[in-house]
Amino acid sequence: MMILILGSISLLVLFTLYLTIGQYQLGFTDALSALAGYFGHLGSPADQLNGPEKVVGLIRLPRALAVIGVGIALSVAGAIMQAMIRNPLVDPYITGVSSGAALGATTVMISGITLMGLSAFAVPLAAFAGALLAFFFTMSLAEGSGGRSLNYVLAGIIVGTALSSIVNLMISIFPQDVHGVLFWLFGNFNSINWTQTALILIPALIVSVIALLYARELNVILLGHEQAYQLGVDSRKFRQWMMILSSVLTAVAVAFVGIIGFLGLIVPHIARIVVGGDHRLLLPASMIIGANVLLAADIVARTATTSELPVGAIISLIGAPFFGYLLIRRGKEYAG
Amino acid sequence: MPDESVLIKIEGVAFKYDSAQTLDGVQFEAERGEFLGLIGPNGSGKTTLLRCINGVLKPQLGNIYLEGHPVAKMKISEIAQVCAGVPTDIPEDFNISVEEYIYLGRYPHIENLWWEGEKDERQVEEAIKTFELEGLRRRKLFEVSSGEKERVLLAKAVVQEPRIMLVDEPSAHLDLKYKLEVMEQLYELSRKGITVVCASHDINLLIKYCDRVIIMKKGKIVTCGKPHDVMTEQLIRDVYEVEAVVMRDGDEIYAVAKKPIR
Amino acid sequence: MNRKGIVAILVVAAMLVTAVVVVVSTQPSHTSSKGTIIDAYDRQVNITSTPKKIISVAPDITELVYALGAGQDLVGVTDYCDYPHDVVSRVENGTLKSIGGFYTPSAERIVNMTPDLVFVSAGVSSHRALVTQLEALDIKVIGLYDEVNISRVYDNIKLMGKVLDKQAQADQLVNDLSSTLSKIDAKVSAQTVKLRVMYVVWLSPLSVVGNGTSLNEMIQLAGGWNAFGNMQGWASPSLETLLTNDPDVILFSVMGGSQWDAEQLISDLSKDPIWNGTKAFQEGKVYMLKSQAANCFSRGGVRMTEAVQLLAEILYPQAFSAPSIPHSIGDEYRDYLTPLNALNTSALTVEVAGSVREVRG
Repeated sequence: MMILILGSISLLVLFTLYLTIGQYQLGFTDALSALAGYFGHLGSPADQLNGPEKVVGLIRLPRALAVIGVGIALSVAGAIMQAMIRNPLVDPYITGVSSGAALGATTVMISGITLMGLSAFAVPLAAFAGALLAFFFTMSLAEGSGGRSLNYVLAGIIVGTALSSIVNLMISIFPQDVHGVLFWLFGNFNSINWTQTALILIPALIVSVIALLYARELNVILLGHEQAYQLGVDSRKFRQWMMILSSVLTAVAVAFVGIIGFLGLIVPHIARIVVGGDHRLLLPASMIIGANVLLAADIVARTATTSELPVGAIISLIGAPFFGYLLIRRGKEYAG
Repeated sequence: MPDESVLIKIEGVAFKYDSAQTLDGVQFEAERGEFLGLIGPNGSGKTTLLRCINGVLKPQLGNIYLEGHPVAKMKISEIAQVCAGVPTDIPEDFNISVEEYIYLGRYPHIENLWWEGEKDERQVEEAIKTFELEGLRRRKLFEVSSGEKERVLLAKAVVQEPRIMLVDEPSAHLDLKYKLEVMEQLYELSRKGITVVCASHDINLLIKYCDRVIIMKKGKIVTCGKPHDVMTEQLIRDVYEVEAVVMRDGDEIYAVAKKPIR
Repeated sequence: MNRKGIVAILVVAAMLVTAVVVVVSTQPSHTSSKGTIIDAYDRQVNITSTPKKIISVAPDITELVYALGAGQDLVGVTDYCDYPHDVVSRVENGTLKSIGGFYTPSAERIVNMTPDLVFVSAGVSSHRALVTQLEALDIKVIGLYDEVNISRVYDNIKLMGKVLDKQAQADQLVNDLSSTLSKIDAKVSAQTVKLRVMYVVWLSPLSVVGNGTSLNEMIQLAGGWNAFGNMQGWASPSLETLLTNDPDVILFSVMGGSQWDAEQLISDLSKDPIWNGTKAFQEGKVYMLKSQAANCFSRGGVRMTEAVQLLAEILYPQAFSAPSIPHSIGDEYRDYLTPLNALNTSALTVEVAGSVREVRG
């Protein structure tokens, strides 16, 4: 419980920091008054806002919320996957979702399809569709070969590798578009606006809440198939359902901001260290911690240099050594 | 009208695993509060039978009824409220405390959406008292010793408020004292009205406590009845291919193996 | 409190919200009126007054703005904008600010500059999201066409001319460019043998321009023939194909700074038996384009004719009275562009040898 309070406070602090730091120079109090000004003008067209209000209200605020949304989505997805596959080295992309999204995005970027009126959504839509399609292939392959956790892992590797190689092929055939594609693949929150934020945050929150409703079952599942069955949980059906939830969360995150790695892997571990393995505590803790971590990383990404750094790279930079440390410290727990 | 006292009814059950006929024409009834022992050599189908009773495995032929309801038609949540299985062991990599583990057994009965309720707490507290696990509450599962583990497993099964308990090799790796302790507790549970079906290799231990014993060989039931009635040297010779001596000492009955039959 | 019911409601709610958000956000904006421009993204943009504070999000756009005479109205450019020289000096003295990189322009910096108009390129995939973001910030954005060929370049010139109210200059510019191309064409079409040109973009893997690229078109306009015109886009031919296609002239392009030393590279490759076997190496017709020379080829746009001319002079020096073009060409490339009205007489050749520059912008 402590973690939720601490985490929320920390989140608030980071959130405020987020709104007041940026490429556009703004003092702390100026930023806060700009925020107030923005809310004061809610409902009226954007031309009523002055510069600071635009920056804080139309750039930083939606971006902060989107970051929180993605942080929550990836952390919950990761926690679910780790419970489903019963292996702590698993991240939400294990079912090939990231490769599918990359394929969708790359196809649109290279072919220049614009979907007419929906051109602003062309890439995210394609990425989302690609992600879900990849998961669908993985699930079909996994269920067709037995439906056990290992089947999902292997199927995910097969599908992920296959789709990645198609992406690589496309890049090598059309190298003139390589910049755009690579940039998308690295993951960034560069061009977030309110529409995208709404499309990220709302589904992320809703699906996370749905996952929370099944936290007890996630605990029971850890007993193994037979034991869970005897308690009344059909682990195979439940696994399918949870995999779908996790993939939707991951797809939503990846569609708009690209592939942000490590978050879904590390955050549930940190949460486990703090609150233990009971998913009724683990899931909310993962959400809070994930939001905090990503928010902090994006502040760095936005302000470290004049050109924006990809936030996924920053998380990996911090994440890899941290995870190595975790592995060494608590290695025996993972030896199973 | 289903007979109230018949908890388990098995009719003509056959189960095939790949090409091996693991169960063939199995038939028996178990009453409320009966302690049923299940013995037989390796591969006789004891474990398979147990897994058919609570629906984990689905037999190709025959019917199984729990409290008069056909298992094949019951939802697994319904089965879980009637029948609890006691596993042989705990998953190794499971990082939760003894208390949390026992609470998991309440799953079929928890009413609240999120946390456990009063009723659940009462059941768990009672189980902890019964099985003397007070000092082990916060201990992690993988830190618990074998003897203590058995009590934890039983506690979790008991809080499930089952009318039927299926136990598979409960004392496999326990020493003498704990072997007896486990049987005593199962016996107590059956006196409280729970139908216990227990499979074990330890014939003597089982026949000491069970009301009736079922002997299986190669998927078929060889015989079924009170230990005093059915345990004979001939039986042991037929089923186990072992020369044995069966001795009676008042109410007690013992079978001691002498040598295998070549 | 049925859980399945709650889940169902939540799922439906999520889908509904998503649908509503998408529909609301794709509402077409205000009705078209006088002063409405249709840009490369097929968007209707309302320009009520001539923009006086412009931001360019691509180097070739910056060059175009200057070419139309509106260079002084620029307030923001990318880190990669470096031509004409005025851009560099203005960035140095602070009158021109950077908005960041080509792919990651900073929306905050753009807002800070309070521009009247931002030009982006439909050829850059990440600019599409920038457009949405800027629209939400109530900043006017115009997307220019992806310059896959000359006619798109003209389209962009005319589009920008209309937007900046410099239609006369735009028409003049289009005329100048097309007349330059005609003059070049006049000189090269007389050539009986078309030389095979190989334009190398990258060495490992070997990447050349193939059919369907703007560079391919430039080669043709310069009177050459793309040795790898049978391949599509940026192609990666094998060394066997290199030998088969046997280019007469090879151009190596180094974008963004000279990573290779020209002399070193050419001497290294000339030791390689396959490269050395090509006609280009045999006859010493291997050239390296650096910095601005490379840029005028790769960016195209308004400097596209300079690139064509430079290439034509390399291919057919006898048709132009150009001084001999060195094997490594950089910022000084314009020294080698002869005025095209010059007749091929020795008197004028003397004048050409001096420092004649074409001034634009």
